[in-house]
Amino acid sequence: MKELVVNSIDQIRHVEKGNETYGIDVTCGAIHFDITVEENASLRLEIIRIKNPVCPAKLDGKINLRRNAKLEVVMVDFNKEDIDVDIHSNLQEGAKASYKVAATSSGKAKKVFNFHMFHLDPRTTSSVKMAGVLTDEAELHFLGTSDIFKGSVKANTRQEGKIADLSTSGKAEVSPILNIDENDVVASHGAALGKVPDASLFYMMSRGLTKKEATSLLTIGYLKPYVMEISDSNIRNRLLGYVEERGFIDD
Amino acid sequence: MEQLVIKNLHVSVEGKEILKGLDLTFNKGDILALLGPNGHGKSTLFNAIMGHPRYKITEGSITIDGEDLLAMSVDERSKKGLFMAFQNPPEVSGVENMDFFKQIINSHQKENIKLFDFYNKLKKGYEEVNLSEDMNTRHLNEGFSGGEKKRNEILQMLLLNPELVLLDEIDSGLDVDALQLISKAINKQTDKGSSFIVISHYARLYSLIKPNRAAIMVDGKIVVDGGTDLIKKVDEQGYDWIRKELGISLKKEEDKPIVLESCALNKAVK
Repeated sequence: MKELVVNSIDQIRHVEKGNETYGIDVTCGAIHFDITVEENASLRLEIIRIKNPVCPAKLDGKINLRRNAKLEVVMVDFNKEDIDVDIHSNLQEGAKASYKVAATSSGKAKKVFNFHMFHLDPRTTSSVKMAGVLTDEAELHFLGTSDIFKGSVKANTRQEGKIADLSTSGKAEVSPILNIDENDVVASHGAALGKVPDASLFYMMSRGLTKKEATSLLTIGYLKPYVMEISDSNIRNRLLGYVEERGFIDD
Repeated sequence: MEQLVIKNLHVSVEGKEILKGLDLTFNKGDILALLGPNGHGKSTLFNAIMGHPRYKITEGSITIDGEDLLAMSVDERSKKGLFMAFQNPPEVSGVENMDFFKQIINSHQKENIKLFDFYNKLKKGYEEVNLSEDMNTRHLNEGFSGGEKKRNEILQMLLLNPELVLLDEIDSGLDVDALQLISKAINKQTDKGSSFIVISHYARLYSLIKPNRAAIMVDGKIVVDGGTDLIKKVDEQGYDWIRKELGISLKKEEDKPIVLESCALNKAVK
């Protein structure tokens, strides 16, 4: 397996064969990319956006998956500035795509994550899972669309998102959409939005945790499984540090 | 804690008054059996003492060694040595048991517990309540059986070593063996100097943990405060004797029949 760190995702164009894993640090500005994963090849992208530098980013692109190609994307975004993500995945016969996204949105940031899966052929599989924590007056939008084209028999898709809304006047949106033009498919979606339940908070505080500590522990639970997906242990620990320093919520 | 004093406590939940002027003085070392029919405010009293935000104190006071308990936040009450074992512990998704335990222990001491000490303490705790250490990585109370939840509550009591423990029907849903085990853990905690207020509907638990006093709550007040002979009396006779001997109605005010005039009036208004 090749493990590579590239400065920008647009440096990746083509995965010819075998497995390639890339760690990508998304910093600032607009990035556009167009990647093709050839037949039977697989690509794993670990895209992170840490706290610094604080600046807005825009990420849009297309990933074409040829026959039986495999794609795994893990994305963790703890930056305080805006981000606008729009990625289209085109799945040919037998291709598999999985997206796992964890994000925090704080201050006055506006974050939009949009993953569009196009099931062009039979036996294509896609899964999009997003988890987020919203605070202050920020916005967080989890949008996902799966299009299953006619003839894509045995296609399988799952779109899900959950946001813990700890904001004062923020805006949280989870909107999974399924457009299906074939009968013989498996498709499901799930959306969960919510304030931290009072009963859980009271329970945890009754054991000595401050409101801030209790809420942090709950949000760690939301984000940690996604951070654990990052294969570079240095980066993973750094991200876990962010999650566990309880920097998201003010008393 | 030397003394907890509750004076003229009135508590409402969503606008409905549940406690209606409750008085209770509780001393260090006491093990109080808190009795009373269902729905007369026992759990409300516990939640008010612990500071549940849904339970509004409209009148009265609770002090702990002269300090105003009601002015303290929920976590401050815990740090003062209070602990409530919940009747129905909530399932907290995403939080691993072990992470939670470590943090609650740390919240009660100045310096964070050393990992080695933590593991030992936890191991011992699991053994005492007969839970498997596999519980460590499970999410807090999530998918636990009724009995496992109750044991998990007692485990947390052991980890925090509180001065005053409120047990709200800790014996419901426990089989005989588990009840023995839990009682043993409670007695051990008593030996360490902890005091207890215990709500249970069954004399069996009380026979195992040996309270030194008992009180009966009716309609949001303590109507009888006395010796442990009350437990036997309630176990054998129920609560009807209270009405006969003491002339206290077991009906809550709101349960009393509505007079015809008000009914007719309501209809007319509609």
